[in-house]
Amino acid sequence: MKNATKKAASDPNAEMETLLEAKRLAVTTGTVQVVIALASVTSVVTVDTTKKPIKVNPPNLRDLSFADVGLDDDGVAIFKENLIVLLDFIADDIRKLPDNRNVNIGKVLEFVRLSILAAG
Amino acid sequence: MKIQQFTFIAVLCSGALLGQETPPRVVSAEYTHTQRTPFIRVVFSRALASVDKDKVTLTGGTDRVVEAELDTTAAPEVVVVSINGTLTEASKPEVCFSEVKYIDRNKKELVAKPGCTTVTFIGIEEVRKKRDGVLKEISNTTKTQNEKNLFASGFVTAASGSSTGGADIVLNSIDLGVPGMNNFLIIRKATQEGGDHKVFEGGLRYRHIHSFNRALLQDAAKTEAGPTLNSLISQMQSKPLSALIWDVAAKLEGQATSFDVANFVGETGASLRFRTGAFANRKGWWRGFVTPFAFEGGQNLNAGATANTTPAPQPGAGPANVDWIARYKAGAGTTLLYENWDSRLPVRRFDLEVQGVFRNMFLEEAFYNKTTKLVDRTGKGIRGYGQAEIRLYVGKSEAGRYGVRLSWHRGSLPPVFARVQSFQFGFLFESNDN
Repeated sequence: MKNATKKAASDPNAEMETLLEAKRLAVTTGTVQVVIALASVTSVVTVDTTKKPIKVNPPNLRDLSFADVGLDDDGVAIFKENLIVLLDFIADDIRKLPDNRNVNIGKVLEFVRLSILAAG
Repeated sequence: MKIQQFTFIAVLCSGALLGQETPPRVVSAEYTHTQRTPFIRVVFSRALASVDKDKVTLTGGTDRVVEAELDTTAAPEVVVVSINGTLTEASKPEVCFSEVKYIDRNKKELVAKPGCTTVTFIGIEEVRKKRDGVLKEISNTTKTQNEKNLFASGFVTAASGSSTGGADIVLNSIDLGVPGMNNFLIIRKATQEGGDHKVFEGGLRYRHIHSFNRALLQDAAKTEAGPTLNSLISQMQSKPLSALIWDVAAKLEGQATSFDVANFVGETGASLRFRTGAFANRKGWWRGFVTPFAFEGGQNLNAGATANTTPAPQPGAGPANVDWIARYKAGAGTTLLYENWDSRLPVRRFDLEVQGVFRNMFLEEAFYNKTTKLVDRTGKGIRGYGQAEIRLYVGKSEAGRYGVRLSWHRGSLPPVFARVQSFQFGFLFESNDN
Protein backbone atom coordinates (compact mmCIF):
# COMPACT_ATOMS: atom_id res chain seq x y z
CA MET A 1 0.00 0.00 0.00
CA LYS A 2 2.81 2.35 0.99
CA ASN A 3 4.63 1.50 -2.24
CA ALA A 4 1.53 2.23 -4.30
CA THR A 5 1.11 5.62 -2.66
CA LYS A 6 4.76 6.39 -3.14
CA LYS A 7 4.54 5.38 -6.82
CA ALA A 8 1.49 7.57 -7.41
CA ALA A 9 3.12 10.48 -5.68
CA SER A 10 6.23 10.19 -7.79
CA ASP A 11 4.36 9.57 -11.06
CA PRO A 12 5.24 12.63 -13.18
CA ASN A 13 2.06 12.28 -15.29
CA ALA A 14 -0.12 12.28 -12.18
CA GLU A 15 1.77 15.26 -10.78
CA MET A 16 1.38 17.13 -14.07
CA GLU A 17 -2.34 16.35 -14.11
CA THR A 18 -2.70 17.67 -10.55
CA LEU A 19 -0.85 20.86 -11.50
CA LEU A 20 -2.97 21.35 -14.63
CA GLU A 21 -6.16 20.73 -12.65
CA ALA A 22 -5.14 23.45 -10.21
CA LYS A 23 -4.70 25.86 -13.14
CA ARG A 24 -8.15 25.13 -14.63
CA LEU A 25 -11.07 27.51 -14.33
CA ALA A 26 -12.60 26.43 -11.02
CA VAL A 27 -16.11 24.99 -11.20
CA THR A 28 -18.07 26.00 -8.12
CA THR A 29 -21.47 27.63 -8.70
CA GLY A 30 -21.00 27.91 -12.48
CA THR A 31 -21.56 31.68 -12.45
CA VAL A 32 -18.28 32.51 -14.16
CA GLN A 33 -18.93 29.87 -16.85
CA VAL A 34 -22.42 31.26 -17.59
CA VAL A 35 -21.06 34.79 -17.83
CA ILE A 36 -18.21 33.75 -20.16
CA ALA A 37 -20.67 31.86 -22.39
CA LEU A 38 -22.86 34.97 -22.52
CA ALA A 39 -19.90 37.23 -23.30
CA SER A 40 -19.00 34.86 -26.16
CA VAL A 41 -22.32 35.60 -27.93
CA THR A 42 -23.02 39.21 -26.98
CA SER A 43 -20.81 42.24 -26.37
CA VAL A 44 -23.54 43.69 -24.16
CA VAL A 45 -22.12 41.41 -21.44
CA THR A 46 -18.51 41.93 -20.36
CA VAL A 47 -16.54 40.29 -17.58
CA ASP A 48 -13.27 41.02 -15.81
CA THR A 49 -11.96 37.83 -14.21
CA THR A 50 -8.92 39.51 -12.66
CA LYS A 51 -11.22 41.02 -10.01
CA LYS A 52 -12.45 39.13 -6.93
CA PRO A 53 -15.34 38.61 -7.16
CA ILE A 54 -15.45 38.78 -10.96
CA LYS A 55 -16.73 42.11 -12.28
CA VAL A 56 -19.66 41.71 -14.65
CA ASN A 57 -21.41 44.31 -16.76
CA PRO A 58 -24.34 44.92 -16.68
CA PRO A 59 -24.19 44.52 -12.87
CA ASN A 60 -27.87 43.56 -12.65
CA LEU A 61 -27.40 40.64 -15.06
CA ARG A 62 -29.40 38.23 -12.88
CA ASP A 63 -32.48 40.46 -13.26
CA LEU A 64 -32.28 40.56 -17.06
CA SER A 65 -33.59 38.24 -19.74
CA PHE A 66 -31.58 36.97 -22.72
CA ALA A 67 -33.51 39.47 -24.89
CA ASP A 68 -32.28 42.33 -22.69
CA VAL A 69 -28.68 41.49 -23.58
CA GLY A 70 -29.43 41.34 -27.30
CA LEU A 71 -30.08 37.65 -27.88
CA ASP A 72 -32.89 36.09 -29.87
CA ASP A 73 -33.91 32.42 -29.63
CA ASP A 74 -31.07 31.35 -31.95
CA GLY A 75 -28.65 33.38 -29.83
CA VAL A 76 -29.82 31.45 -26.77
CA ALA A 77 -29.20 28.18 -28.63
CA ILE A 78 -25.62 29.29 -29.42
CA PHE A 79 -25.12 30.38 -25.79
CA LYS A 80 -26.16 26.88 -24.66
CA GLU A 81 -23.72 25.28 -27.10
CA ASN A 82 -20.91 27.48 -25.75
CA LEU A 83 -21.84 26.77 -22.14
CA ILE A 84 -21.67 23.03 -22.85
CA VAL A 85 -18.01 23.47 -23.87
CA LEU A 86 -17.28 24.99 -20.45
CA LEU A 87 -19.46 22.60 -18.42
CA ASP A 88 -19.52 19.44 -20.49
CA PHE A 89 -20.44 17.20 -17.53
CA ILE A 90 -23.90 18.84 -17.33
CA ALA A 91 -24.46 18.95 -21.12
CA ASP A 92 -27.75 17.01 -20.88
CA ASP A 93 -29.14 19.49 -18.35
CA ILE A 94 -28.07 22.53 -20.39
CA ARG A 95 -29.75 21.09 -23.50
CA LYS A 96 -33.04 20.98 -21.55
CA LEU A 97 -33.08 24.78 -21.30
CA PRO A 98 -35.56 26.18 -23.82
CA ASP A 99 -34.30 28.36 -26.70
CA ASN A 100 -36.37 31.24 -25.39
CA ARG A 101 -35.05 34.79 -25.31
CA ASN A 102 -37.49 35.75 -22.54
CA VAL A 103 -35.91 33.44 -19.96
CA ASN A 104 -34.46 35.22 -16.93
CA ILE A 105 -30.66 34.88 -16.67
CA GLY A 106 -30.84 34.70 -12.85
CA LYS A 107 -32.93 31.55 -13.15
CA VAL A 108 -30.39 30.05 -15.54
CA LEU A 109 -27.60 30.80 -13.03
CA GLU A 110 -29.58 28.99 -10.35
CA PHE A 111 -30.33 26.06 -12.65
CA VAL A 112 -26.66 25.70 -13.61
CA ARG A 113 -25.56 25.81 -9.95
CA LEU A 114 -28.01 23.07 -9.00
CA SER A 115 -27.09 21.00 -12.08
CA ILE A 116 -23.39 21.12 -11.10
CA LEU A 117 -24.23 19.92 -7.59
CA ALA A 118 -26.66 17.29 -8.89
CA ALA A 119 -23.93 15.91 -11.16
CA GLY A 120 -22.17 14.80 -7.99
CA MET B 1 -46.02 53.43 37.77
CA LYS B 2 -43.60 50.58 37.08
CA ILE B 3 -45.63 49.59 34.03
CA GLN B 4 -45.48 53.15 32.71
CA GLN B 5 -41.67 53.25 33.20
CA PHE B 6 -41.26 49.94 31.36
CA THR B 7 -43.39 51.16 28.46
CA PHE B 8 -41.34 54.35 28.22
CA ILE B 9 -38.04 52.42 28.10
CA ALA B 10 -39.43 50.00 25.51
CA VAL B 11 -40.52 52.91 23.27
CA LEU B 12 -37.06 54.49 23.59
CA CYS B 13 -35.35 51.20 22.71
CA SER B 14 -37.56 50.57 19.67
CA GLY B 15 -36.91 54.13 18.49
CA ALA B 16 -33.19 53.55 18.75
CA LEU B 17 -33.54 50.27 16.88
CA LEU B 18 -35.54 51.88 14.10
CA GLY B 19 -32.67 54.26 13.47
CA GLN B 20 -30.23 51.36 12.95
CA GLU B 21 -29.96 48.86 10.17
CA THR B 22 -29.86 45.18 10.97
CA PRO B 23 -26.36 43.89 10.20
CA PRO B 24 -26.08 40.82 7.97
CA ARG B 25 -26.61 37.46 9.64
CA VAL B 26 -26.20 33.98 8.22
CA VAL B 27 -29.48 32.50 6.96
CA SER B 28 -28.09 29.17 5.81
CA ALA B 29 -24.80 27.38 5.16
CA GLU B 30 -25.26 24.43 2.81
CA TYR B 31 -22.88 21.79 1.59
CA THR B 32 -23.37 19.06 -1.00
CA HIS B 33 -20.69 16.48 -1.55
CA THR B 34 -19.38 16.57 -5.16
CA GLN B 35 -16.30 15.36 -6.97
CA ARG B 36 -15.46 18.92 -8.01
CA THR B 37 -14.22 21.89 -6.01
CA PRO B 38 -15.93 21.39 -2.66
CA PHE B 39 -17.60 24.52 -1.31
CA ILE B 40 -20.07 25.72 1.30
CA ARG B 41 -22.76 28.08 0.04
CA VAL B 42 -23.48 30.60 2.75
CA VAL B 43 -26.57 32.79 2.38
CA PHE B 44 -26.70 36.04 4.37
CA SER B 45 -29.77 38.07 5.27
CA ARG B 46 -28.60 40.97 3.07
CA ALA B 47 -26.10 41.78 0.32
CA LEU B 48 -22.47 42.02 1.40
CA ALA B 49 -19.81 44.42 0.18
CA SER B 50 -16.81 42.16 0.75
CA VAL B 51 -15.52 39.17 2.63
CA ASP B 52 -11.93 38.24 3.41
CA LYS B 53 -11.01 34.54 3.36
CA ASP B 54 -8.68 35.09 6.35
CA LYS B 55 -11.75 36.06 8.39
CA VAL B 56 -13.46 32.75 7.59
CA THR B 57 -12.71 29.52 9.46
CA LEU B 58 -14.06 25.99 9.66
CA THR B 59 -14.51 24.08 12.88
CA GLY B 60 -15.29 20.45 13.58
CA GLY B 61 -12.81 18.87 11.16
CA THR B 62 -9.41 19.13 9.57
CA ASP B 63 -10.59 20.93 6.44
CA ARG B 64 -9.50 24.50 5.84
CA VAL B 65 -10.84 27.41 3.84
CA VAL B 66 -9.15 27.85 0.47
CA GLU B 67 -11.19 30.78 -0.77
CA ALA B 68 -14.17 32.86 0.30
CA GLU B 69 -15.78 34.88 -2.44
CA LEU B 70 -19.01 36.74 -2.98
CA ASP B 71 -21.23 35.38 -5.76
CA THR B 72 -22.22 38.94 -6.66
CA THR B 73 -23.44 38.16 -10.17
CA ALA B 74 -25.85 35.40 -9.17
CA ALA B 75 -26.80 36.54 -5.67
CA PRO B 76 -25.02 39.36 -3.77
CA GLU B 77 -26.07 37.93 -0.40
CA VAL B 78 -24.21 34.66 -1.06
CA VAL B 79 -20.63 33.79 -0.10
CA VAL B 80 -19.00 30.75 -1.68
CA VAL B 81 -16.51 29.24 0.76
CA SER B 82 -14.23 26.86 -1.14
CA ILE B 83 -12.55 24.27 1.06
CA ASN B 84 -9.95 21.56 0.71
CA GLY B 85 -10.92 17.97 1.36
CA THR B 86 -14.44 16.74 2.03
CA LEU B 87 -16.69 17.64 4.92
CA THR B 88 -18.30 14.87 6.93
CA GLU B 89 -21.66 15.26 8.61
CA ALA B 90 -20.42 13.31 11.66
CA SER B 91 -17.88 16.04 12.48
CA LYS B 92 -20.74 18.61 12.73
CA PRO B 93 -18.72 21.33 10.99
CA GLU B 94 -19.36 25.02 11.55
CA VAL B 95 -18.39 27.90 9.28
CA CYS B 96 -17.38 31.04 11.16
CA PHE B 97 -17.16 34.60 9.93
CA SER B 98 -15.23 36.85 12.28
CA GLU B 99 -15.91 39.80 9.98
CA VAL B 100 -17.84 40.73 6.82
CA LYS B 101 -18.43 44.17 5.32
CA TYR B 102 -21.70 45.61 4.06
CA ILE B 103 -23.01 48.93 2.81
CA ASP B 104 -25.74 50.70 4.76
CA ARG B 105 -28.49 52.88 3.33
CA ASN B 106 -26.20 55.94 3.58
CA LYS B 107 -23.71 54.12 1.35
CA LYS B 108 -21.29 53.82 4.26
CA GLU B 109 -19.21 50.64 4.59
CA LEU B 110 -19.81 48.92 7.91
CA VAL B 111 -18.37 45.83 9.58
CA ALA B 112 -20.46 42.97 10.99
CA LYS B 113 -19.42 39.92 13.00
CA PRO B 114 -21.87 37.16 12.06
CA GLY B 115 -20.10 34.43 14.06
CA CYS B 116 -20.47 30.66 13.53
CA THR B 117 -23.21 28.63 11.82
CA THR B 118 -23.61 24.87 11.59
CA VAL B 119 -23.24 23.55 8.04
CA THR B 120 -26.33 21.77 6.69
CA PHE B 121 -25.70 18.77 4.45
CA ILE B 122 -27.94 18.61 1.35
CA GLY B 123 -28.24 15.27 -0.43
CA ILE B 124 -27.98 14.87 -4.20
CA GLU B 125 -31.63 13.78 -4.49
CA GLU B 126 -32.84 16.96 -2.83
CA VAL B 127 -30.63 19.04 -5.12
CA ARG B 128 -32.05 17.23 -8.17
CA LYS B 129 -35.60 18.01 -7.05
CA LYS B 130 -34.72 21.69 -6.69
CA ARG B 131 -33.03 21.68 -10.10
CA ASP B 132 -36.10 20.14 -11.76
CA GLY B 133 -38.31 22.74 -10.06
CA VAL B 134 -36.19 25.58 -11.44
CA LEU B 135 -36.22 24.01 -14.92
CA LYS B 136 -40.03 23.85 -14.79
CA GLU B 137 -40.16 27.56 -13.92
CA ILE B 138 -37.80 28.35 -16.80
CA SER B 139 -39.80 26.21 -19.25
CA ASN B 140 -42.99 28.08 -18.31
CA THR B 141 -41.53 31.40 -19.46
CA THR B 142 -43.78 32.96 -22.09
CA LYS B 143 -42.49 32.87 -25.61
CA THR B 144 -43.51 36.06 -27.39
CA GLN B 145 -44.96 35.61 -30.83
CA ASN B 146 -43.17 38.47 -32.52
CA GLU B 147 -40.02 36.36 -32.71
CA LYS B 148 -39.23 36.28 -36.40
CA ASN B 149 -37.13 34.04 -38.50
CA LEU B 150 -37.88 33.82 -42.16
CA PHE B 151 -35.47 31.04 -42.86
CA ALA B 152 -35.96 28.56 -40.15
CA SER B 153 -39.70 28.77 -40.32
CA GLY B 154 -41.00 30.97 -43.08
CA PHE B 155 -42.47 33.19 -40.40
CA VAL B 156 -43.37 36.74 -41.42
CA THR B 157 -44.48 39.93 -39.76
CA ALA B 158 -48.13 40.48 -38.95
CA ALA B 159 -50.28 42.60 -41.18
CA SER B 160 -52.43 44.04 -38.47
CA GLY B 161 -54.71 46.95 -39.15
CA SER B 162 -57.48 48.59 -37.21
CA SER B 163 -60.26 47.31 -39.46
CA THR B 164 -58.86 43.92 -40.37
CA GLY B 165 -58.19 40.74 -38.48
CA GLY B 166 -55.14 38.56 -38.40
CA ALA B 167 -53.56 35.74 -36.48
CA ASP B 168 -49.93 34.79 -35.97
CA ILE B 169 -49.60 31.52 -34.15
CA VAL B 170 -46.13 30.19 -33.47
CA LEU B 171 -45.56 27.13 -31.34
CA ASN B 172 -42.05 25.85 -30.94
CA SER B 173 -39.73 23.49 -29.20
CA ILE B 174 -41.58 20.82 -27.30
CA ASP B 175 -38.78 18.72 -25.85
CA LEU B 176 -38.67 15.61 -28.02
CA GLY B 177 -35.89 13.99 -26.03
CA VAL B 178 -33.46 14.05 -28.96
CA PRO B 179 -30.69 16.67 -28.69
CA GLY B 180 -31.09 19.29 -31.44
CA MET B 181 -34.59 18.09 -32.44
CA ASN B 182 -37.71 20.18 -32.00
CA ASN B 183 -41.07 20.73 -33.62
CA PHE B 184 -42.80 23.82 -34.91
CA LEU B 185 -46.21 25.05 -36.00
CA ILE B 186 -46.72 28.38 -37.72
CA ILE B 187 -49.93 29.95 -38.98
CA ARG B 188 -49.99 33.40 -40.60
CA LYS B 189 -53.42 34.49 -41.71
CA ALA B 190 -55.10 37.88 -42.10
CA THR B 191 -58.28 39.21 -43.68
CA GLN B 192 -56.57 42.31 -44.98
CA GLU B 193 -56.19 42.31 -48.76
CA GLY B 194 -52.51 42.54 -49.63
CA GLY B 195 -51.51 41.57 -46.10
CA ASP B 196 -52.53 37.93 -46.00
CA HIS B 197 -49.57 35.59 -46.37
CA LYS B 198 -51.77 32.46 -46.29
CA VAL B 199 -48.99 30.52 -44.58
CA PHE B 200 -49.31 27.31 -42.60
CA GLU B 201 -46.25 25.26 -41.64
CA GLY B 202 -45.83 22.39 -39.24
CA GLY B 203 -43.08 19.86 -38.85
CA LEU B 204 -39.94 18.59 -37.21
CA ARG B 205 -36.54 20.22 -37.28
CA TYR B 206 -33.07 18.98 -36.42
CA ARG B 207 -30.50 21.66 -35.71
CA HIS B 208 -26.73 21.50 -35.47
CA ILE B 209 -24.79 24.48 -34.19
CA HIS B 210 -21.11 24.97 -34.90
CA SER B 211 -19.77 27.68 -32.58
CA PHE B 212 -16.88 29.71 -33.95
CA ASN B 213 -15.67 30.24 -30.36
CA ARG B 214 -15.40 26.55 -29.51
CA ALA B 215 -11.58 26.41 -29.48
CA LEU B 216 -11.28 29.59 -27.40
CA LEU B 217 -13.87 28.28 -24.93
CA GLN B 218 -11.97 24.99 -24.63
CA ASP B 219 -8.87 27.04 -23.78
CA ALA B 220 -10.91 29.13 -21.32
CA ALA B 221 -12.02 25.98 -19.49
CA LYS B 222 -8.35 25.13 -18.94
CA THR B 223 -7.39 28.63 -17.78
CA GLU B 224 -7.74 29.99 -14.27
CA ALA B 225 -9.39 33.37 -13.70
CA GLY B 226 -7.02 36.22 -14.48
CA PRO B 227 -5.44 38.20 -17.33
CA THR B 228 -5.04 35.17 -19.65
CA LEU B 229 -8.72 34.30 -19.32
CA ASN B 230 -9.63 37.95 -19.92
CA SER B 231 -7.55 37.87 -23.09
CA LEU B 232 -9.40 34.76 -24.33
CA ILE B 233 -12.78 36.42 -23.67
CA SER B 234 -11.57 39.53 -25.46
CA GLN B 235 -10.62 37.40 -28.50
CA MET B 236 -14.11 35.87 -28.52
CA GLN B 237 -15.69 39.33 -28.36
CA SER B 238 -13.63 40.58 -31.27
CA LYS B 239 -15.00 37.94 -33.66
CA PRO B 240 -17.83 39.24 -35.85
CA LEU B 241 -19.40 35.82 -36.42
CA SER B 242 -20.79 33.73 -33.61
CA ALA B 243 -21.87 30.42 -35.15
CA LEU B 244 -23.00 28.48 -38.16
CA ILE B 245 -26.47 26.98 -37.73
CA TRP B 246 -27.39 24.06 -39.91
CA ASP B 247 -31.06 23.09 -40.02
CA VAL B 248 -32.72 20.01 -41.51
CA ALA B 249 -36.53 20.03 -41.42
CA ALA B 250 -39.43 17.94 -42.65
CA LYS B 251 -42.66 19.91 -42.82
CA LEU B 252 -46.15 20.15 -44.18
CA GLU B 253 -46.80 23.54 -45.73
CA GLY B 254 -50.28 24.54 -46.75
CA GLN B 255 -52.44 27.45 -47.77
CA ALA B 256 -53.83 28.80 -44.50
CA THR B 257 -56.51 27.92 -43.82
CA SER B 258 -58.24 26.18 -46.77
CA PHE B 259 -55.38 23.82 -47.72
CA ASP B 260 -56.18 24.21 -51.43
CA VAL B 261 -52.46 23.66 -51.74
CA ALA B 262 -50.55 21.34 -49.45
CA ASN B 263 -46.91 20.38 -49.90
CA PHE B 264 -44.72 17.94 -48.07
CA VAL B 265 -41.30 19.56 -48.01
CA GLY B 266 -37.85 18.64 -46.81
CA GLU B 267 -35.61 21.59 -46.08
CA THR B 268 -31.96 22.09 -45.32
CA GLY B 269 -29.96 25.25 -44.96
CA ALA B 270 -26.99 26.91 -43.33
CA SER B 271 -27.14 30.26 -41.60
CA LEU B 272 -24.30 32.41 -40.34
CA ARG B 273 -25.09 34.27 -37.14
CA PHE B 274 -23.32 37.48 -36.18
CA ARG B 275 -22.40 38.09 -32.56
CA THR B 276 -24.55 40.72 -30.86
CA GLY B 277 -22.48 43.87 -31.03
CA ALA B 278 -22.85 46.70 -28.54
CA PHE B 279 -22.59 50.43 -29.18
CA ALA B 280 -23.26 53.74 -27.38
CA ASN B 281 -21.80 52.46 -24.11
CA ARG B 282 -23.92 49.29 -24.31
CA LYS B 283 -27.15 51.28 -24.51
CA GLY B 284 -27.58 49.90 -28.01
CA TRP B 285 -26.89 46.65 -29.79
CA TRP B 286 -27.33 45.00 -33.14
CA ARG B 287 -27.35 41.44 -34.40
CA GLY B 288 -27.77 39.86 -37.78
CA PHE B 289 -27.71 36.72 -39.87
CA VAL B 290 -26.98 35.67 -43.43
CA THR B 291 -28.38 32.54 -45.04
CA PRO B 292 -26.28 32.03 -48.15
CA PHE B 293 -27.65 28.61 -48.92
CA ALA B 294 -30.84 26.68 -48.28
CA PHE B 295 -32.73 24.12 -50.32
CA GLU B 296 -36.39 23.08 -50.17
CA GLY B 297 -37.57 19.98 -52.01
CA GLY B 298 -40.73 17.92 -51.85
CA GLN B 299 -44.00 17.11 -53.49
CA ASN B 300 -47.40 18.72 -53.85
CA LEU B 301 -49.94 16.51 -52.09
CA ASN B 302 -53.08 17.68 -53.87
CA ALA B 303 -52.03 18.29 -57.42
CA GLY B 304 -55.12 19.09 -59.51
CA ALA B 305 -57.46 19.20 -56.54
CA THR B 306 -57.73 22.97 -56.73
CA ALA B 307 -59.65 22.62 -60.00
CA ASN B 308 -62.64 21.58 -57.88
CA THR B 309 -62.84 24.85 -55.98
CA THR B 310 -65.87 27.11 -56.30
CA PRO B 311 -66.19 29.16 -58.40
CA ALA B 312 -64.46 27.03 -60.99
CA PRO B 313 -61.06 28.26 -62.11
CA GLN B 314 -60.51 29.54 -65.61
CA PRO B 315 -59.99 26.92 -68.33
CA GLY B 316 -56.39 25.98 -68.73
CA ALA B 317 -55.55 26.73 -65.12
CA GLY B 318 -52.28 25.20 -64.17
CA PRO B 319 -52.25 23.73 -60.64
CA ALA B 320 -53.00 20.30 -62.09
CA ASN B 321 -49.49 20.39 -63.55
CA VAL B 322 -47.87 20.89 -60.17
CA ASP B 323 -46.08 17.88 -58.77
CA TRP B 324 -42.51 18.08 -57.46
CA ILE B 325 -41.03 21.04 -55.63
CA ALA B 326 -37.44 22.25 -55.78
CA ARG B 327 -36.40 25.65 -54.45
CA TYR B 328 -33.13 27.41 -53.61
CA LYS B 329 -33.35 30.20 -51.08
CA ALA B 330 -31.06 32.79 -49.57
CA GLY B 331 -31.46 35.87 -47.47
CA ALA B 332 -30.34 38.05 -44.60
CA GLY B 333 -31.69 40.03 -41.67
CA THR B 334 -30.64 42.44 -38.98
CA THR B 335 -32.05 43.84 -35.75
CA LEU B 336 -30.91 47.03 -34.10
CA LEU B 337 -31.98 48.47 -30.76
CA TYR B 338 -31.08 51.63 -28.86
CA GLU B 339 -32.53 52.26 -25.42
CA ASN B 340 -31.88 55.16 -23.06
CA TRP B 341 -34.79 56.08 -20.81
CA ASP B 342 -32.77 58.92 -19.25
CA SER B 343 -32.40 60.62 -22.59
CA ARG B 344 -33.78 64.13 -23.10
CA LEU B 345 -34.76 63.23 -26.64
CA PRO B 346 -38.45 62.44 -27.20
CA VAL B 347 -37.60 58.94 -28.48
CA ARG B 348 -36.20 56.81 -25.63
CA ARG B 349 -36.11 53.49 -27.41
CA PHE B 350 -35.67 52.66 -31.08
CA ASP B 351 -36.07 49.16 -32.58
CA LEU B 352 -35.35 48.41 -36.23
CA GLU B 353 -35.79 45.04 -37.85
CA VAL B 354 -35.14 44.29 -41.52
CA GLN B 355 -35.29 40.89 -43.20
CA GLY B 356 -35.30 39.70 -46.79
CA VAL B 357 -35.41 36.35 -48.58
CA PHE B 358 -35.52 35.24 -52.16
CA ARG B 359 -36.42 31.88 -53.58
CA ASN B 360 -35.69 30.44 -56.98
CA MET B 361 -38.25 27.78 -57.93
CA PHE B 362 -36.78 25.32 -60.39
CA LEU B 363 -40.16 23.64 -61.07
CA GLU B 364 -43.72 24.88 -61.62
CA GLU B 365 -45.66 25.57 -58.42
CA ALA B 366 -49.23 26.61 -57.64
CA PHE B 367 -49.78 30.37 -57.22
CA TYR B 368 -52.59 32.34 -55.63
CA ASN B 369 -54.37 34.64 -58.06
CA LYS B 370 -55.42 37.90 -56.41
CA THR B 371 -57.93 38.68 -59.18
CA THR B 372 -59.87 35.42 -59.09
CA LYS B 373 -59.01 34.79 -55.39
CA LEU B 374 -58.15 31.23 -56.35
CA VAL B 375 -55.06 29.13 -56.63
CA ASP B 376 -55.39 28.80 -60.38
CA ARG B 377 -51.97 29.80 -61.70
CA THR B 378 -48.55 28.27 -61.77
CA GLY B 379 -45.15 29.74 -62.04
CA LYS B 380 -41.46 29.32 -61.39
CA GLY B 381 -38.38 31.47 -61.18
CA ILE B 382 -37.41 33.99 -58.52
CA ARG B 383 -39.81 35.24 -55.83
CA GLY B 384 -38.65 37.63 -53.16
CA TYR B 385 -40.00 38.82 -49.87
CA GLY B 386 -38.88 41.64 -47.60
CA GLN B 387 -40.08 43.21 -44.40
CA ALA B 388 -39.01 46.12 -42.26
CA GLU B 389 -40.34 47.32 -38.97
CA ILE B 390 -39.49 50.33 -36.85
CA ARG B 391 -40.77 50.84 -33.32
CA LEU B 392 -40.23 54.16 -31.57
CA TYR B 393 -40.99 54.31 -27.85
CA VAL B 394 -41.54 57.63 -26.18
CA GLY B 395 -42.45 56.60 -22.64
CA LYS B 396 -43.01 53.81 -20.19
CA SER B 397 -44.94 53.14 -17.04
CA GLU B 398 -45.24 50.25 -14.60
CA ALA B 399 -47.76 48.66 -16.95
CA GLY B 400 -45.61 48.82 -20.06
CA ARG B 401 -44.05 51.05 -22.71
CA TYR B 402 -45.71 52.95 -25.51
CA GLY B 403 -44.89 54.55 -28.84
CA VAL B 404 -45.52 54.12 -32.53
CA ARG B 405 -44.85 51.35 -35.01
CA LEU B 406 -44.24 51.47 -38.72
CA SER B 407 -44.01 48.32 -40.77
CA TRP B 408 -43.61 47.48 -44.41
CA HIS B 409 -43.97 44.09 -46.12
CA ARG B 410 -43.60 43.25 -49.76
CA GLY B 411 -43.28 40.06 -51.79
CA SER B 412 -44.60 36.51 -51.51
CA LEU B 413 -43.97 33.35 -49.53
CA PRO B 414 -44.75 29.68 -50.11
CA PRO B 415 -46.83 27.64 -50.44
CA VAL B 416 -49.17 29.76 -52.63
CA PHE B 417 -47.00 32.86 -53.04
CA ALA B 418 -49.86 35.27 -52.37
CA ARG B 419 -48.57 38.76 -53.11
CA VAL B 420 -48.29 40.95 -50.05
CA GLN B 421 -47.78 44.67 -50.17
CA SER B 422 -48.62 46.57 -47.06
CA PHE B 423 -47.50 49.54 -45.04
CA GLN B 424 -48.80 50.11 -41.55
CA PHE B 425 -48.53 52.84 -39.01
CA GLY B 426 -50.04 52.60 -35.58
CA PHE B 427 -49.75 53.36 -31.92
CA LEU B 428 -48.10 50.69 -29.86
CA PHE B 429 -48.38 49.61 -26.26
CA GLU B 430 -46.31 46.71 -24.97
CA SER B 431 -47.26 45.41 -21.54
CA ASN B 432 -44.62 44.23 -19.09
CA ASP B 433 -46.29 40.91 -18.45
CA ASN B 434 -44.15 38.91 -20.89
